[in-house]
Amino acid sequence: MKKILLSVLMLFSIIAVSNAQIKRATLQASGLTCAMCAKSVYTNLTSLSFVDSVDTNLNASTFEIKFKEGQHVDPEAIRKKVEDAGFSVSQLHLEFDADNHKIEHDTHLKVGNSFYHFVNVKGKEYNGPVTLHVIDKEFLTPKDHKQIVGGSNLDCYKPGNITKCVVPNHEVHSLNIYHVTIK
Amino acid sequence: MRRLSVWVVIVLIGIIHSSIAAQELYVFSDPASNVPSKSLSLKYNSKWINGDMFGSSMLMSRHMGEASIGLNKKWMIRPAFTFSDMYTNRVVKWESISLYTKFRFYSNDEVHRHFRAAAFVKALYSSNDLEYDELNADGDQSVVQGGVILTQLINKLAISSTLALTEVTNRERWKEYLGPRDFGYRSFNYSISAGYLLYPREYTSYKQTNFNLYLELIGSRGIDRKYYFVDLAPAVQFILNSNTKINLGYRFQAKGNAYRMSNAAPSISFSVERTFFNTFRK
Repeated sequence: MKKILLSVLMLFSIIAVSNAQIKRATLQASGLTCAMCAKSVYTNLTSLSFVDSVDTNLNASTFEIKFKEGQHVDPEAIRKKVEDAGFSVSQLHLEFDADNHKIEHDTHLKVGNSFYHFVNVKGKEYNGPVTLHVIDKEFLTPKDHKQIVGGSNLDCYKPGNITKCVVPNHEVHSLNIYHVTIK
Repeated sequence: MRRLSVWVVIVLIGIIHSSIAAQELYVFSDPASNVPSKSLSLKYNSKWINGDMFGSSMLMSRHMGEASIGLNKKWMIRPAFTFSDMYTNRVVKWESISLYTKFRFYSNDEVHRHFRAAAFVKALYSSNDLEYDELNADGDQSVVQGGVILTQLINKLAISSTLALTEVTNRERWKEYLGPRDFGYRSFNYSISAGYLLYPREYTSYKQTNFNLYLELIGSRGIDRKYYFVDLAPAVQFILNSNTKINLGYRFQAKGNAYRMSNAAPSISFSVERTFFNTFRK
């Protein structure tokens, strides 16, 4: 019981719970050049319940996604849709409006049902639109992933249910967690 | 043949150096990529050939219908049937049914490029008797065909290769017969395909009609009987609305010594394919 209580306390101590919502995202899909291939990604993305609209840049294979107001944004569901279309995510940038959020390296922020773990960010207070670059393995090309995390295969860099990680504080929960950085 | 090879190399180098996007929606062969998961693609294809029938030349055709279904992102199945008058003396009749399945077992995606590998098996039951050297999985014989497909999309070039073994399963293969065997039962089939986008130069919308050019090399070699052929098959493709493909292909023998339906085997293919994205999703 003591342990649980301690864990709960720890949970509150390191996680900022935010009312902010992720409003937009820029996604780049990799492994394709044809418009028909992009169309299958587009159709899959628009089928997500929390997606409001998708704008495609066919030449760059990028998709500007607008999310519905008040809906929980699930990056994992986005990734699955791209892979079901037959391709991969090479970049996912999530945009949210910060309202005096203090963000530091190795802290968590809860937005909707997902936790965002900040990696290599300058600790400061953020205000206004902030772009979160998802750096988990499944959201980058193998090349970019190697460059960003130095080829680390730590469980830490796998999205989804995390129980253990390089940072001890990580052990406090096992919910949707994504590793992000701010550039 | 040497002159032809030079041309093929020139075209391939041209594709590599061109500033246009590559395409891998081949007309005569399959890439290692699959149809999207939970999607359905329906295709009608007709092949027209001037074949030798009873000593005289005659225009014959084969009509094929197929449905490609993406079971998940890596695995697809494709039931198909053919009708033709190639073996039935001018009467178009049901000819074959088949089931094709392809599993993409390797995929390395980078922006605007990928390398993918897939394994496939096709089982085809045909009503035809063995009549020619050429073994394929198009409907001419009952066969089981299996192989691998490697596809490389690199910057502006999409190139794909299929390597397959074809095994005849016609009943007459196992019938007791004391005379000399007329046909081979096993062949190595291969293809090399390249394709590129001619139009549009810049994409602006999904509604734009795309115009693609393809060049494929399709070959076969008998394993238990000595014969071979190498065909060349240029093709054009229009993609409408990013969901409908219209293909027109020409295929002819560049070199070979196989006894086939037609000696130089020139044939014309016409096909229409419509993809319905997300059909099987609730």
